[in-house]
Amino acid sequence: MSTPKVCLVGQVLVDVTFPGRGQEPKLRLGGIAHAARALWAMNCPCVMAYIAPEYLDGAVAKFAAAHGQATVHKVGNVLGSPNVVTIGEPTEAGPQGYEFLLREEQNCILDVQTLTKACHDDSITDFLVFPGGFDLAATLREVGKTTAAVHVDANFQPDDPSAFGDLGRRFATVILSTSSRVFLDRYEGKVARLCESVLGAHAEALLLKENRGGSRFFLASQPGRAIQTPAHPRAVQHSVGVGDVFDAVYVVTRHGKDDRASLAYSSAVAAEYACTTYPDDFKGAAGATLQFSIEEITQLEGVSLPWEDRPSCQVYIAAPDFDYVDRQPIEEVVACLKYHNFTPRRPVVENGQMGVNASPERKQALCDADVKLIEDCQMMLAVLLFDDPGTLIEIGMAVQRGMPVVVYDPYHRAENLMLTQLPNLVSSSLDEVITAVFKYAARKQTA
Amino acid sequence: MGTQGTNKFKDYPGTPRGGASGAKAGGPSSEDPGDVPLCERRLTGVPLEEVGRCDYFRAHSTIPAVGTPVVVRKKLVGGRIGVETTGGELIGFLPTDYNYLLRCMKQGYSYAGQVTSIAAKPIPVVRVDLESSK
Repeated sequence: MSTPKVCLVGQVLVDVTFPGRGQEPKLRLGGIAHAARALWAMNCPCVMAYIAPEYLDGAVAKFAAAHGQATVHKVGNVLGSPNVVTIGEPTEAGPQGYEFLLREEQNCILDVQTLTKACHDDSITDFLVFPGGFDLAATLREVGKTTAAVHVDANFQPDDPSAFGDLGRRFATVILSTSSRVFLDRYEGKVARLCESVLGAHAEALLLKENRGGSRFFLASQPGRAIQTPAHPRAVQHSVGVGDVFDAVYVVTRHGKDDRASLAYSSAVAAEYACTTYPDDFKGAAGATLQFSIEEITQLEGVSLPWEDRPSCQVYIAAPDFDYVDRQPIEEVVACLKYHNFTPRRPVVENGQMGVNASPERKQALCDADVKLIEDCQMMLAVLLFDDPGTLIEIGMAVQRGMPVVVYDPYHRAENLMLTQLPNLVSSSLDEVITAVFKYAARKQTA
Repeated sequence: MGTQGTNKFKDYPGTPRGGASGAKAGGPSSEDPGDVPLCERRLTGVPLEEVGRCDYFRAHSTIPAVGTPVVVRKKLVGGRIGVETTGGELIGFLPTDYNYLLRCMKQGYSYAGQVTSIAAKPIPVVRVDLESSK
């Protein structure tokens, strides 16, 4: 077994998170810095082959020194952009709301000579490349000359998988997330199409990360089979870089551990990264997690819900979804469910809104249609904007039917005993609500 | 014109915690920015799962009374974190949201508390409060 030493290749960014509720924005080094933190937390030697604007060079050097004396090679400069990303929705309950400042003006100039020098370190066992904005072809040609295993997190680039060919050999792992535009657009969100395109032709293995629904790992040598690893969702502080941490832990732990165990450790450590922005806390948590026995880590129950299984989970939106009401919280919930590939059902939108002078026949027809829709759904998500009788009655109906009921209470209105005690969850946190949807939907799938 | 915040990187190793003190009740929370270490937070009203299938209910055909002392079992039970009486009878499982307690226990923390609310029907429900110690 070789001692892992990982070279990270990609941009360093500045992540600016706006946590809201009057809390102060937080500045962190992002891009490959997230994976570097994971390597530091595992005491794994790290090489940062980074691309960034000059003003960040000092910060990167300080970061590397503070994180296990990581070796630093600046392999590219950035002009025209500060490499600052603002994050409007840090928990990724729904779309993250990333804004890459001056993205269109960014010009990355790769320093191939320095990259070549970085690649000459024969003790590097693995390269983990994060493409995006820089000359990927030239980078892969240099990395491909080494004998190290090469992994690529292809969430942003390349769009065309033929670009993987520049490596000159197969990647050890191609890594993708269900939230990436490449997955959603190029492969139309179809996992089989992704596997067909990438596995074997370009990669020995494909790792598909599915947010709160866990991950799946496909091997070219075992077509049609997947190792499914649960996520361990919980209330999080942020989601930024969590996937990168997953990557880094996987790359390290696959040395000496089988794929199933390696992926299980990766999922658990990534969950810890999402819970804190204090590096020392993360390091302690990662170290303790890596002490789990293989039996413990592979048995630890979490949430597994593949992307393509989610549309069949129809979620009844119980809410005063009327055109004269401020429906923003309802729209947010619906957007989050769609982002995660669930199927929200909006009775008022689908069946119609009752007019002021509706006839008894019209009222009965609407009532029947709404009840039928509840029967068609697997879960209820109630949005409590005010004490709307229809919403409260629907919650009671769903509880009585044994249907999972999650209540989003954005204005902290839930005080009634039955309302607070009977649903599976009442929360004013959209993150907690979406996490609960994953949990109960996954249970429905396995029931 | 003045500016505030965002004037330096704040996440190097050794960065001190923020100023808030005291744990927030109510289980895992996204509202606590980390001023209290996750492992040390007080957990309140945690609904146990699978109560009807666990040892205590099967042995007694009922659920433990409010006030019954409980502890978190350090060894997984079928991949879940169990909560048991001080006599070792399994009452139920923590929701998987609390899986982090397993690594907290690896870091030397223990969790104990008591049953705070119960309901026998339509399905047996037991809620517990838990405090950490080290």
